[in-house]
Formats: sequence, structure tokens, C-alpha cells
Amino acid sequence: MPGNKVDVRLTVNGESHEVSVEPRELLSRTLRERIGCTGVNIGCESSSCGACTVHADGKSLKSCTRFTVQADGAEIQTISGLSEDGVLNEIQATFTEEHALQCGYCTPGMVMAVDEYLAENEDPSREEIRTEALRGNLCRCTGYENIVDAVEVAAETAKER
Amino acid sequence: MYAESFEYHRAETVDHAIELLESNRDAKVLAGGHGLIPLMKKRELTPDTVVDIGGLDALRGIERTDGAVRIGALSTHTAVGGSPLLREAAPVYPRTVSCITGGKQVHNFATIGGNIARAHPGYDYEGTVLATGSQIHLEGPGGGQTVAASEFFRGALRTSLEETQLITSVVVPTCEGHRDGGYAKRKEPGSGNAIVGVATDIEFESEQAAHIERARVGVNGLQESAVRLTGVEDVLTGSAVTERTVQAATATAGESVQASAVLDNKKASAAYRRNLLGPQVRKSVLQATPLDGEA
Amino acid sequence: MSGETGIGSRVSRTEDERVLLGDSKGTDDVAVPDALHIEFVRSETAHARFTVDTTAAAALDGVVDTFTAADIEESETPTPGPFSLYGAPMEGVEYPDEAFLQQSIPGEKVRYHGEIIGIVVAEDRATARDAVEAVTVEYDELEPVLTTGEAVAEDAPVLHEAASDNVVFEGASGDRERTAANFETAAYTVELEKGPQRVSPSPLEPRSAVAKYDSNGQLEFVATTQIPHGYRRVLARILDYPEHRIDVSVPDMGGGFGSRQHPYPADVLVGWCALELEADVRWRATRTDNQLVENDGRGYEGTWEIALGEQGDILGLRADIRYDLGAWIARGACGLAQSGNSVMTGQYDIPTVYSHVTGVVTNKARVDAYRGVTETPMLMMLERLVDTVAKEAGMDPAAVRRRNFVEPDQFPYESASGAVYDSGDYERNFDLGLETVGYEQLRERQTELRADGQYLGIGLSCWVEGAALGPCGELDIATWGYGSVQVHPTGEVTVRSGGSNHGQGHETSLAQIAAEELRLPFDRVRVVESSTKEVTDGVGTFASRTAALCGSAVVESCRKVIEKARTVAAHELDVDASTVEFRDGQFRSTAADGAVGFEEVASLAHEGAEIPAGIEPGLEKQTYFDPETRTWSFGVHIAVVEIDPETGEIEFQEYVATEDCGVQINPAIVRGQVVGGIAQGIGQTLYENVEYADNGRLLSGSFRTERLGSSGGYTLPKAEHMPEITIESTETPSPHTPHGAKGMGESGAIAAPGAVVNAIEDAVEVFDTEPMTPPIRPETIWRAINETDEE
Repeated sequence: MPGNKVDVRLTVNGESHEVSVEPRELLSRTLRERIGCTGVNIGCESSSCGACTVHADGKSLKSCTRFTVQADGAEIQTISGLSEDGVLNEIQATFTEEHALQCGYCTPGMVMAVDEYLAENEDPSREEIRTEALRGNLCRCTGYENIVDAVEVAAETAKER
Repeated sequence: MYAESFEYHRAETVDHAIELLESNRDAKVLAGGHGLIPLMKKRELTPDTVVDIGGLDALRGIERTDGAVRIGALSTHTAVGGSPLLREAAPVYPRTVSCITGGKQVHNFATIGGNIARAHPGYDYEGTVLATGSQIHLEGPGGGQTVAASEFFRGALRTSLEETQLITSVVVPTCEGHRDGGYAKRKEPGSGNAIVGVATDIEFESEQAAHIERARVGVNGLQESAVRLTGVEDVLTGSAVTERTVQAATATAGESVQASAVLDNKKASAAYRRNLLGPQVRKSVLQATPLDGEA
Repeated sequence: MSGETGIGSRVSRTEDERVLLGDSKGTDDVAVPDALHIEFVRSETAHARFTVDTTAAAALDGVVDTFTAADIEESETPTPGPFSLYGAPMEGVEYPDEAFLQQSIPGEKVRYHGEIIGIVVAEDRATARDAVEAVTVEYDELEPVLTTGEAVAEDAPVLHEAASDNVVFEGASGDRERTAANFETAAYTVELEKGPQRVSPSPLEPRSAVAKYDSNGQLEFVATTQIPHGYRRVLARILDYPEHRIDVSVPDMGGGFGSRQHPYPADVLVGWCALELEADVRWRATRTDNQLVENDGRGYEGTWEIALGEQGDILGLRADIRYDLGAWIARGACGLAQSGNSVMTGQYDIPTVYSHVTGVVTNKARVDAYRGVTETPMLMMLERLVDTVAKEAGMDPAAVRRRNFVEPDQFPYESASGAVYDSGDYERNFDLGLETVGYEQLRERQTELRADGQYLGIGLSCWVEGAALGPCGELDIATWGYGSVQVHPTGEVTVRSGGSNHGQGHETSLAQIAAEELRLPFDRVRVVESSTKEVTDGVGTFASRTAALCGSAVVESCRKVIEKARTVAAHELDVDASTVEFRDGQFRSTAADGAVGFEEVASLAHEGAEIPAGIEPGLEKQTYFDPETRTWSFGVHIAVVEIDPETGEIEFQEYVATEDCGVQINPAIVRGQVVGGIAQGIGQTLYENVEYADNGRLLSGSFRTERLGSSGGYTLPKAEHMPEITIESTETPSPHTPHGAKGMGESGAIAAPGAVVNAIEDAVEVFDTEPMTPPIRPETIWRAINETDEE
């Protein structure tokens, strides 16, 4: 029958969840409405803005472009999963130090995208940060400059260690 | 934001997927989902059935075969872009993929199969598939089929793919000598798709060889389907890579193109697209192979 | 101490942590168990008579109720009244015909694509969405009016039958005869046309509203609005429901940019449903819904002219403008013509101006405030005119500007368009900008490169921003800023502001103000905004007002607190209050030894036993700060681009912006606002365009579309589209605010278009191109250079 619910198991930020969802339900909706991840934001309908970016099995993903049924067995990490016991991780801390957020709506997705990028790119130029690291994310408030600063500083900090 | 309800099936094998496609006539294939899901969310597509082939590991992997490299249809842009094998055997592929829009989030999940099945004029793979002489392997109720790119791509959003067929792989013929490749894309800022994207595939007898053994140039975005710039190919093939050659190639860029087939729309007029060919050819060739005398 | 986190500090923002921890909550994140879900049936066409039948939808499983205008009319719950305007559109112009005032849900005729014509209420959102598809609508299509030219043409289709035609208002500012005379005698005159362009504010969070109704008849909204108290006021009136029974709060909101400084029909109807059903209801726009009906910005087109004397003195300005208002008017729309006219002289001392504006309706979404508002087109055209006429006269555009700036000793300066500028130092700031960008060397380089067939362009754009609108008597609305300071017995402070923070950092900047005034560590101050429950009153956050107005109110309230605290301390020290002063967090007397700390005073005041006779316990003060005049920020933006004549591609080489917004409370926040505004300005100039089809349907309803042949979607600039930006500041305090801060936030959106267009036209000057109307794409430039018409 169309729309019959499917049982899906997911791990989100280390916690197991079992949900029963219609096939048409998007992962973003499941994360937000069933699991309570308010750090997953919906900004568009065209997979453009990246505000819904999470990590699925270690890979960044726009959670609005995945049906929850496709994520059965996946390990999902949202921005909440980057911090521990309310302590910001390096990238998160750098974002606030560099004033890289204003309204904050794009920020969770931005940070998740940046987190993956910096894990794979040690020494990006500002140009690379603009054209590659931030390619999948939109921001309407900051004009990006401080976000680029934050990524640059975070990369330098990581290198120093 | 909410797709219409549908029946969901997870295919266990390729044959199972084909069975499902056969028994559900209003079915769509779900691979990476980055072509299908946005359309379903807006209810521009409302299939009764969705066949999820995401679990078919047989369709993954990039490996050497006899005289070719086989790219599994479910290979993501990340996989193609990061493949050391392709970087060596057909570098135009990773170069092209690096220009696909959407960010790493999209590259991690969108697939080559999904991309070429959609055959959107502004997508980036067509020129490359065409220029490299790659072939597309399909499986269907009638068995396997191998199709040349020029046969597969039939127009804007149109391919030879039947509703009951699956793309299983893209097979890239390799060459004996040294291979270079470049992709120069002028993209539309909104969609990130190509207004004009020129893919250049160049073969040298060896890394030290001065003259191009074979050059093939495919452009997508220009027309409904990708086309070869045979005029450019003729200038480059057999020539040394000098400023003069590149200029000559650039000058002929538009010549072999059927003017009436050039897309003319809000993204760009036909005149502007044709105007872009020269500069894009130049960029593409120089990305593929630097001028003699440069490293 | 406060020195590190007081005024002028770049302290990291308080609001950041919850965002980065993933704990930030938007309206749609607020949990409301058992809330019913609303989806709207929206018109699929721009202009039509219609009938709507919700019977099939109402019968679906999970659908609780459906409503059309007829159902609403029949119901006992009062039918929503129309929206209203802030006041007359322009001085001396009549209040427009009531027929133009927006109705929340039409019953017979739709006037723009996306207009709400039906409501579905269901148990869950997906069901509501499915049910919308089951609603049957029959359209009897009418010819749409899609341009201002069409709106004023003879025999134009009329949108609102009760009004006589499509003209909402027509008015002018300035001196027509004197200006004409100056144009007659001028050595040089230039006329520039600007075609129409709408842009969409597009905050990243789509609009959303929750309305809760409890058994006491209390109606509580949680909504994406920039004006919580104003929202309450407007909805109380429209819904005919007592204001004191309504509460509004705004959780974290993902942007506004002016698009949420007024409620929408959706907000009214969500409230209506809550009252009708006596239940909690909620709604959330999709991005498409948002793009369809959230107001657009700009909507100006017409002709602008400048007259220059032989020596380079600007002798006059003239403008003839048609203003596309969309299908309905509400709130600020019309008045924006007045504010645009008031800034038309920019930074220059111009003897006479005349600006004639005709506002018309079209079958499109409403136009209203968007960052920069009408200042953007007025100043963009002014700056283009200055560049163009300077070149015609063979003068350096920088030199012409210098010659015409308002001088420091002319402030307060009343412009020919009626604005009174409070303070300014334009030339000093201008020089800073030119020095920073290296203007002289750039001009040299430009000449050298031209010889090589390379085309560099330098675009200057001087701007003013009249913010913190007021005083109250001047406009028909409240314009004060509300700020209260409550000192807890422990010495900690809660600041309550009538603003509504959505990215501007008020939780931080207002805390910095209090920390400065009260000599407190920053973390002992908490700022509360965005709530009618928690904050007595407010006007909201828009038009760059909060730092100047709510900030001033907070300063004044702090000073009132200190004043009262002094008397308590004096009592404690047993001295006369006049001998007590507050320094470094302590109250000391010149007449006795000893000191009383701030905390101790707070505790004493709260307890109330050891306080002077005649004063009440407690230590809390509020202020409604009504400004004497607007504040005027200013600066110059300089864009440097290189254009490839072969392809028309634009590459930024430099972008320098100067900002003078008086005292800067938090320079990092100021800088962030400038850069963010520049991004929107660049977006407007190179990428963004609200696009309608010939039949009036919106084409740009998505940030990205792959629809064949389309222009790709409503294109917001990405990181790769932005230049690296250098910002330098000067500080000319406002004489009218206690902390010297001026309103700021819109300068980027005001100045960037002029800078970028001027740079582009400067680069291609040798090709003698026709003036271009944004958005300017590479093909636009290529065509202008080649003037090709072979296709």
C-alpha cells in the first residue's frame, strides 16, 4: 500500500532510535520532528542552502535530500554531536570568535560542512574555502567573510597542533 | 515539501530491481536521490512506486578491466573525483566532477548513473562521456546492452534508457600512452549548472611526446545534448601544444557547431553561448595540458 | 571588568553558543503538543475571479476543518478586517483609497500568484498538504497588470474595482520650478533611466506562526516577526480581539531584513483559526510560499537627472519614479516613497531637488521594506549620475564629490529634500576610503591596463543612512525605543528591550551598554527581547533603530538606576546624595569615608527597609526614548573590478567600505552588518531578480531550479561570488543619543549597488555602452560592449 510505514533504525549523535515512517518522510523531518534535533534547519526546497547538513556515516549530507528509509542503519551526527557536555569544539569555538554567525540559521549546516572539509583539507587558501568548502551552503546574513576567516583560523589552529 | 505518498521497495539485486521496474509501471529509480528527491518534494514527479537501488553494491566500484576503466553507476561524485585510477587513466573525469555543483554534501551521495540518466543539458558529465568515447552499460528485462554516448543521450532530459532498464556502469576506454584532461565550465550562478562546459580529453604517445596523438572535445550546456567540437579536435590532433595551436583551436571552436541547435534561453542567448566557446576551449585545453615549455 | 566588554569591545556574542550547540530554536522548533496544522490553498494565477470548493478536502481522513472567505464571513468569529498603512504615503498626499488595503483572504477575486484563498486544518502537516491538493478551484482568468506602465495605461485592467484606477498615490517632494530653472542654466545635465527590478529579502528561515488558545481566552502567538508588540497590536485590531489578551513572542529567527516588519495574511488567518477552533494551531511556509508572498523590495523604475555647473557644482536633481507596490498595500509600503525622497541628495549640498513618485498596483506580491529600502535606488542613481556627469564634464568623479559634500560646519544640515542630518564629516571619511583603496594609483593603473586591452573599473558610491526614525510626531506611528533595566537583589541585571534580535547581536550589544553604564562584568547582564510577555512594550527591530533607540533607552534607564542607587547609597552612608558619585562600581561620598558597592545597593533597595523616606523599594527603571531627529550614518564604498570584454565576465579586485555610524558599540557586529549588507547589495546588482512570467506567475520561487530554459532560480550570492572586503571606520558621534551611537546596518545594501554599477560602467567606458539596469550579468555586459542584435 502506498505510504505504509517502514521501520527504520538510526543512530543520532550516538543514541539509537527506532522510528516508523512513511517512505516519503525526509531524513530532515525525522531528525527535527521525531528526534528533536533543532540544529537541523530547513531553509529551502531545492537542496541549495545546506542548512540541513548533517553527517551520515561520516559523510556530509543535505538531510532534506534523503528519505529516512534510505538511512536505515546509518550513523547520523548533527551539530549537537560536535560538542561534548556543552563545550564547543574547535571549529564551533572559532565560529564565535570570528563572529561568523548572525541570525544563526545557516550555521549548523555550515559548521557540519566545514568540519568535513577541514578533516580532508589541511591548508586551504581563502579562495579554496570560498569555492570548495562553502560551495554547498548559503548564508544571507554574514556575507561569508567572517565564515571564511573562521575556516582559515580553524585550519591554522589544527595545523599548529 | 512533502512528496506524494508512494510504495517503497528496496532492490536486493540488479535483477530484482528490474523485476520491480517491470511490475510497477509508474516506478522511478532512487539512487543518490539528488535528481529525484527535489522533484518529488515539489510534486513535479509523483511516481506510485520508488525502487531504491542504493543497496546494490554490484553497481559500485571503479576498477580496471581489459582496455578500460569501469565506473559503477552508483559511484558518487566524491568517488569519481578521488579515484587515483581515473586520475591517471582518464583525468578529464575527476576534473569534470570537481566542477559539479552542490557542494561536498551533494558529491557524497549523487551518482554518475543518476546524473547521466537525467541528461539535463546543464549537467557536467555528458561532454566528458562523449569525448572519452565512454560506453554506457544497461541492464533490462531483455538482458545487458552497451550503448555509445552519442546513442544514449537523445536530447534535453531524454536518453535511450527505457523505464525497465538500469544503468549499471560507464566504461571508459583507456589508452596506452599518457592521458590528460580538462573541463572548463562557465556556470550559471543560480543553479550551478553549465551554460557551456568544455571537456577535453587528450592522449599523448608518452609523457615526453611533444605532439598530441588524439584530442577529443565534448561540450555540454551548449545544446540539448553534448556535442563534439570536431574543428577543435582536428587542429589539436597531431599538433604540439603551443600558443599558436591553442589559438588556432580556439578560433575554430564554433565552426563545427550547428548554430540552430544552440540553446537560446534566459540562461544565455545562443549568440553568447557561441561566443563563450572559444574562451572555454582555451581554458579547457590549457587545463588538460599546459603549453610546451611549462611544467 | 566593563572596560573589556563595554562599549567598543569586540566581545563574542552571547547568542552564539546556543546556535553552535544545536540548541537554537526557531518558531517551527517550538514544541506545541497536539497543535493542529494549517496549510493554505494559494492562488495559482495572478488575476482571476474564482470559486473554491473544499468539500473533498474536508472529507479526508485527518482533516479537521477547512475555511474559505465565505466560511469565515459566516462564522461567528469576527471576520478579519483589512490591514492599514502607517500613514499617508508622502507629505501633502491623501491617504490612499481603502480599496487598496490588503485583505487577508479574498472571496471573489485573486490578485497575485500565491494569494491565500483557502485554509486546511489537519492533524499533521503532510495530511494538510495532501488535502490542499483535493481543494477544487475554478479560475476565470483576467488579464494581469505586470508593469507599472501597464498599470497606468488607458483601459488598463483594474485590480480593485472600488478604486477608480490602479494609481494608489501620486506626489512629489521638492521645488519643481526652481529645479527646472537650475536645469535650464546648467552647463551639464545627465539623464539616466532605471528599469524595474524587484528583489526578495529571502531570509533563510521561511515564515512560520503558532497560535495557542487557552481556556482563558488568551491567544498566544509564536511567530517570525520583527515587531512582536506591533504584531500584537495589528492582529488585535484586524482580528477584533482585545490586545491585552494577546501575547507574542519570537524565538530565534533566521533573518528578516525588513520582510517581517509587518504581519501578513497568513499570520492573521493562523490567529483566526485558533479563535475559531479554540485550539492550538501552527503553520510553516515552504520556501516557495515564502518567495511567493513575502514582500519584495525596491520596485522603483523611472528617470533620474542631475544638473552640474561649469565648475562642478551640483545644481539640482530630478526624478520621475513609478513605484510598483504589488497587488495590495499595507503598513510601510507607501511611506517608503517619502523616505526615499528625503535622502535623494545623499552627502551633497544641493540647492534644489524635485522628485515625483507615482505608486501603482500590479498583479504581483506586495512590495515593502527591504534593507536599504528606497534609499538604495535613490542613492544608486544619484551616485551613477555623479559619475556620469563628472565624466561628461571631463572631471574626476572623486573631485566632483569633494566639491559638493556638505561641510562639517553645516551640521545640523537641512537638505533640499527636507531631511535634517544630525552630524557628519564626509570629506574626511571619503579621503580615508580613497586612501585605503589607493585611488590615485588605481586610476594610473587603469590607464596603463587600457593600453593593454585590459579593463579595470573603479566605482565610487557615497551613502547616507537615515536611521532610528523619529521623532514620534513626524510619522504616524510610534517611533520610540523601549528599554528597561532591572537590577536584581544580587546585583545582576536584566535588560529588557522593545526590539527583536534576529542576527544583529542585541543580546550582546545591549548588554555591553549596560555593562559600560553600570560598570558591571558583561556576564552579569542578561538581555531579554522579542516578547510581549517579558517586555512591557516595544516598536520592534527594523530600519536600523535598535542600537540607537533601544540602546539609548537602555542608557537612560541605566542612568536612572544609578540616580536612584545614589540616593540609596547616600542614605546608607548617611550623607547628602549630592556628595555621592558612582565610580568603578562603587558609590563613594566626598563627605565621608567608605563606599557602598552596586550589589549592596541593589540588595538594600530590594529589601526596602534601609532606603530614604519617600522613595519606593526596588531598583528598576524604564525609558521610552523618543529621538529628536533621525541619526545619519555615512560613508563611501569603492568597488574595483576587471571586466573581460570577450565574455563580459566581472572579477572583483578590491572592495573598500568606510562606515561612520557614530560610536560603535561592538565593532565586530558593525563590521558583520556592513559585510552582510554588501552581499545583499552585490546580490541585487549581479545576481538577484524576482521574475514573473508573462501570465503573472512567479518563476523565481526557488533558490535553485533546473527547469529547462529558466534563469536558474532566485540567485543568492554564494561565498565564491563575494570579494574580500576592507572596512575602515570613522566615528562622528550622534549629538542626539546619549551613547553617541547612530543607527546602522543597511549601508552595505544601500551603497554596494552604486559602487558596483559605477565600477562596471567605468570599466567599459571606452566602449561607450548604454547604461545598464541591474541585475547585470556577464552577457548583459558583453551585449552592451558589442551591441549585438544579430539574433
